[in-house]
Amino acid sequence: MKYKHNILAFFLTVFFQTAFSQDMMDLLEEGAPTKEFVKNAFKSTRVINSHSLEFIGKGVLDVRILHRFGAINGGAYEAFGIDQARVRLGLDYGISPRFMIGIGRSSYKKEADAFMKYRLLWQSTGKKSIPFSMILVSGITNSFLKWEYPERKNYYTSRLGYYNELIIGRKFSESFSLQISPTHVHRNIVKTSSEKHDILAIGTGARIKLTRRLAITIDYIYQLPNQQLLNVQQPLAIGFDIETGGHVFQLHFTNALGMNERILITETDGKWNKGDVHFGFNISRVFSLTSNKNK
Amino acid sequence: MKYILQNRSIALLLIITFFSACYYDVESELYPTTTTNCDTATPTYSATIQPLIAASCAITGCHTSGAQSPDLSSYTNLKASIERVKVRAITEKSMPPSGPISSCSLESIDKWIASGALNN
Repeated sequence: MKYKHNILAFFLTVFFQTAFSQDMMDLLEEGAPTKEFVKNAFKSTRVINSHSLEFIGKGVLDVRILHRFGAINGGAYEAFGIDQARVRLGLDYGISPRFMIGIGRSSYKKEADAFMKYRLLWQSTGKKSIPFSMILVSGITNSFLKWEYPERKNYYTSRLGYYNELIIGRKFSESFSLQISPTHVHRNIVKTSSEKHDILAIGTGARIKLTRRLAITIDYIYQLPNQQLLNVQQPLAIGFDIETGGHVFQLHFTNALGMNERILITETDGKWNKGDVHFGFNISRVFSLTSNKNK
Repeated sequence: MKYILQNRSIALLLIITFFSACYYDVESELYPTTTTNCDTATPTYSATIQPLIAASCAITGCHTSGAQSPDLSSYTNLKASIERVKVRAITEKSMPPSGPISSCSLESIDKWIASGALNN
């Protein structure tokens, strides 16, 4: 078993030093007129598949139920995919307005995942305004599939994968938000030496608000050319966000079945032009676990 | 200042935690005996698929006539449920419940389906 320290940790640490110095300067200006933080860039903490600029509030629990049905090219016999469904049940929790965590379990590939999401910069107006938001997400995935060869010595680390995203985005107007998210995915084990353990991709997410409760969303993840895995497609999802009080419904079509970043980026094989497209929805229901005075 | 330091610590902890267990294992090097000798050149129903289904799926109490649906014990029934088999065994790897079939066998099934799932 080979073990390597990842130098990316070093670069991210250096980056943090720089990024926080900006925030520190802002907070030292406590006597100055209060700045206004820009909120509701997206209706949910996910664009569709990917993390968005949005956070849930402190002490808020977000119960998330995700469904991805079969491919619509299955035809009427498969009810255009409705006969097959994959589910992810997730719980996200807001520790502070800048920090949230979450866990989830997907039926697809029997994977569990956990993540931490931290807001480095928060788009704001007023004195010392910041024109965009910058967010770091780090996550871990764990496959619970039974071993393919139980008789050989298998290592638990082979079940694990990791991902790190830096989301940079801006709410340009009340009706339009855009983000890009350079993403790194690490797999602890690959089949052959021709495959990469570390995959780099760039995600793009956008929201166009149509009415107070309805928005169009687009979520696309582009693998950099030299990162392209054999038979793996770029995940693209297009959908609608519908907000009804404490619920957000995200209805969409996507070529991806994965509901965590590892599967999404390294194992999406559906082709839009072949009809390998799946209808899916995300339901988000938030519960406040703390009293208002503690927020 | 306390707020800043606290948050910086959280952020650093976040990174260190998630980078501390990166491995760079390659299955073909780690397990040379189980990842070689995979011949998937021309899988046929009679020589490759039927024995595999009989050993892994159409076993007593599982996908046989009168047991759990779908019945995979004959070519006709298997062909009728081929999309379901593909999804559960190859895409999701959630079947059989005892654990995924070897990747070599899965590759054979995938190739056989891709070539029309013929009764050859």
